[in-house]
Amino acid sequence: MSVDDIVLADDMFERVGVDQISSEHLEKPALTYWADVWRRFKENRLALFGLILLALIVATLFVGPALSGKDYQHIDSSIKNQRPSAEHWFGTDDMGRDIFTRVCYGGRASILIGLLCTAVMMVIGFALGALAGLRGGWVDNLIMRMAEFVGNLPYLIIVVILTMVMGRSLFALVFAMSLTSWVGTTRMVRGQILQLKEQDYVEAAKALGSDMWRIIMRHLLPNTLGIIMIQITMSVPGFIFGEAFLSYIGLGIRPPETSWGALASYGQEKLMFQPHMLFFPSLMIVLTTLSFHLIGDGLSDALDPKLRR
Amino acid sequence: MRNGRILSTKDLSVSFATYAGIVQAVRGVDFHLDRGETLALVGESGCGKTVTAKAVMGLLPMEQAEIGGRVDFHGENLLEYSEDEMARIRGKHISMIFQDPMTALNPTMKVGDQIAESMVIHEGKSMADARAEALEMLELVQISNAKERMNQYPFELSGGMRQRVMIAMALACNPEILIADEPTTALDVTIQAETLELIKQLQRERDMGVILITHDMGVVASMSDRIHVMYAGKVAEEGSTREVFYSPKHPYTFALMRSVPDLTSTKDEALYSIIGTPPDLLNPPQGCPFAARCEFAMKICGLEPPGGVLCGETQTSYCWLHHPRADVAGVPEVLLERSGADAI
Amino acid sequence: MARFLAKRVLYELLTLFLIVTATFFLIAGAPGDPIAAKVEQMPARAQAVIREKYGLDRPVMERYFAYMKNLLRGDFGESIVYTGRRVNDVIRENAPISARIGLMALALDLLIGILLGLMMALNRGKAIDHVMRVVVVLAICTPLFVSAALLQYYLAFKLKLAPIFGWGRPEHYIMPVLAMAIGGIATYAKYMRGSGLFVIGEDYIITAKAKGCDKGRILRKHVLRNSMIPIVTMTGPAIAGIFGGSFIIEKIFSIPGLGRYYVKAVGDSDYTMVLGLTVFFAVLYVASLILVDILYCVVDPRIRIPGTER
Repeated sequence: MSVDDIVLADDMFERVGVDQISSEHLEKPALTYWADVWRRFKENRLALFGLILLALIVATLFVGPALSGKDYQHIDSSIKNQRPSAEHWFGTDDMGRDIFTRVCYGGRASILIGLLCTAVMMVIGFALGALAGLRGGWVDNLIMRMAEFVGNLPYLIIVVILTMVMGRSLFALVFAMSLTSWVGTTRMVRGQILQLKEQDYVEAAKALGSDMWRIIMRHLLPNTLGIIMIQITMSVPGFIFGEAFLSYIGLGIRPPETSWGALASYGQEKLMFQPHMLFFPSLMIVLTTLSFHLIGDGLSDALDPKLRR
Repeated sequence: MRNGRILSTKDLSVSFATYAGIVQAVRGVDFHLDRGETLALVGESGCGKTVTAKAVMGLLPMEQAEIGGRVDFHGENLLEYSEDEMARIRGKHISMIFQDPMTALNPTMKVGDQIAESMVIHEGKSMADARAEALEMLELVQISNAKERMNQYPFELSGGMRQRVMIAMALACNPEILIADEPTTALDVTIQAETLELIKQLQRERDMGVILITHDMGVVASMSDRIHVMYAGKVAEEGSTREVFYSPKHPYTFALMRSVPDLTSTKDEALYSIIGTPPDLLNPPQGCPFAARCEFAMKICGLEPPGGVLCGETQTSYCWLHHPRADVAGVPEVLLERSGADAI
Repeated sequence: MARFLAKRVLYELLTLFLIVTATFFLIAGAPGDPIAAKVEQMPARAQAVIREKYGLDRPVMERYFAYMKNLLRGDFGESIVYTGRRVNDVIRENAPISARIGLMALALDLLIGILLGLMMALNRGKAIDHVMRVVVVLAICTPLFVSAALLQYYLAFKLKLAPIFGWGRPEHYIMPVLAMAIGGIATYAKYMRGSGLFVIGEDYIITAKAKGCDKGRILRKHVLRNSMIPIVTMTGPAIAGIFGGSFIIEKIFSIPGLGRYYVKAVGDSDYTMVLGLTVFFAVLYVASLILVDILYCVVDPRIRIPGTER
């Protein structure tokens, strides 16, 4: 474009100087960390779907039996092996028990086990990780060697042996499954603490006389919260699967209590003739696992600093 | 100026489709390169210099990038080449080296094999022959113990050595043009000079054209014949290195020169830095992109983009200050002086 | 590299030793009398004879050392429930079957999983990627016995594409191998996709392009090897998964494999058999850990050079 082509008024050449306002193009005001994480999580439709799905499932588990009005233990051979109907929403099993109610009760057990095991894993993992990170020295070394060893152990074999030996109480199940699961959490917590130790503000606070341990603890939790949440979403379904597996080989929860795993493994044997006995508990396992999975994926995307806008 | 124009671009523009909208990274850039000369593309991060180079090489992601204009290489428009045709040009006729040699080399492939690869592709050599020549290339770029180094992996080499390997890789098939994108930015200061010397030497030996992309004025001063100063996707000023360095004609270039701290100065001055930040390329300003930060800006600067005005023998500045009716009160002499045929 | 490997091998052998010891003491310490059911009907003297045969009259430590000595000779013990049935025989008869199925499933996992994952990475964002991602997620979220049962129901029962269960002819391999491979394929695909996407975004891929490599070459020589490195680390747990999977698959498809036998032994409270088989599994498991370490050294040159451990 040639300079001569334009008709220029005289005032066009008035000096204007630096434009303070538009010379700095400001970004949108940054949100606080958690507000930003929540915002990003909300925008992820799949993750939101997972959250809602999970909430629905849990609600059903609690409210379901009241709604259906059936007793999960009530045996009635006259109505056995019925397909789903208005009367029995998920049908009946080979002893005439209402499957929907049984699925609800079973779900409570499955999710309870999942949560309990995860809780134990977190507590042990946190304790050991904090000990290793804060104490350092031989304590740290010992714990890390233990972690490496335990991490190398064949999980399955240990769980099977322990359950076999300890019987099939809830305590035994939880104990067996969480015993070797703390390794990842321990490493993570220890790593975070070591990182925090390096921070300048910790040094500064220490120089001012503050108790270093208290500082680290105060900062540790907020920093690790995100990662912990993701670990929870991955662990709970893992433990549900674990219990289902144990049920399948005959080591799971003991009757008359039941779990999704127990229901599903029982239903698997009857698959050819009563597919609904396998279908519904399996569906619940899949949906629950799926919702945790989606939430976990959504969380890790929301927490990823590289994706922050 | 030597004869033998090998590359020229006309009105090259690049925009990217992003989540936030369309980013106009390069907006109408013209430059040319002759055999044996070094052209520097200078500017701060985000000004579009790397995108320009990648556009020439066809290395931009095709799904998101819109490229307009012409890139003339020996009379052919590279922008119209198919992917296969470009693949034949890359590495053979035009080569590029990148800023960070650690990440730019394949970590699980031996260094010798990486150099040999281009020869296998472009010259149809067998791997064995190519490796023999790769060894020669390593010696050419002055890497000691070349025979051992051939079979080592990038992580076993130092930063400077890795950059030399990159150079060897780029020059293996004797290209006519070498594009060097911030070749020394990731290196130690002491290694920087050696690396630049090496590039200069190889350029002389092969009569190669070099496009040097950098934000470091020192590198420009020692290496280039001509400079294009870029800002916000456009060229602000262009000319020979001498002209632009000693006699900048654009307020941005002028400010850039001033920003380089003078190590020998004993004065108690605050360091100079340009106020503000580069504009948002999602909605580029209507007029001159530098207007908002320019202390000499006039009303028209914000409204109409300035055309190029020849201010020296080969120097062109894109600025309204050179218009006869411009308000030049307080503007430093050097910005306004004209030399050569167009002196007023 | 040799030093690195030697250290790992020693470590893993120690692990094995500790597993065996722990298992032994756990089982020895189990409440109740292991042969109670068997000797219920027998007179006291016969009971004493049986007890002596299994060494149950001796103190635990003595039994432990005796057991370890036998183990080193390769003798895994004898069943407590089925007299005369030696663990070694069980292993010899049933292990090859499980191994064949497991290895075939693993091969499928790697082959299909890796290629699928790569394909997904290359087609990121397109329809096929979205579809496969859904499929993969569902496969991961479904417990093995559910997917195996479903496969059995639809492919074998309804569509009659393969025998529903049983063993003996080549066709009998189809269902179990397929069922076992599903979870692994999905997992490998998922991680390969992530790894592939990461590698594709790396700078050296641009360098390769700048050299004039065409897409095929970039894929083969630059993307493939670098994306597979993290996948190798997953092979260890995958092998462990095959063990567990065998329990389920062999039960569902009535395969006379070691997994099914193990489950049966557990159900029978056949402590010596369980112990013997557990030790065997532990040996296999540790062997696979060592194998993965070796594989890792082969694939990632950064491990091989001393002083550059990651």
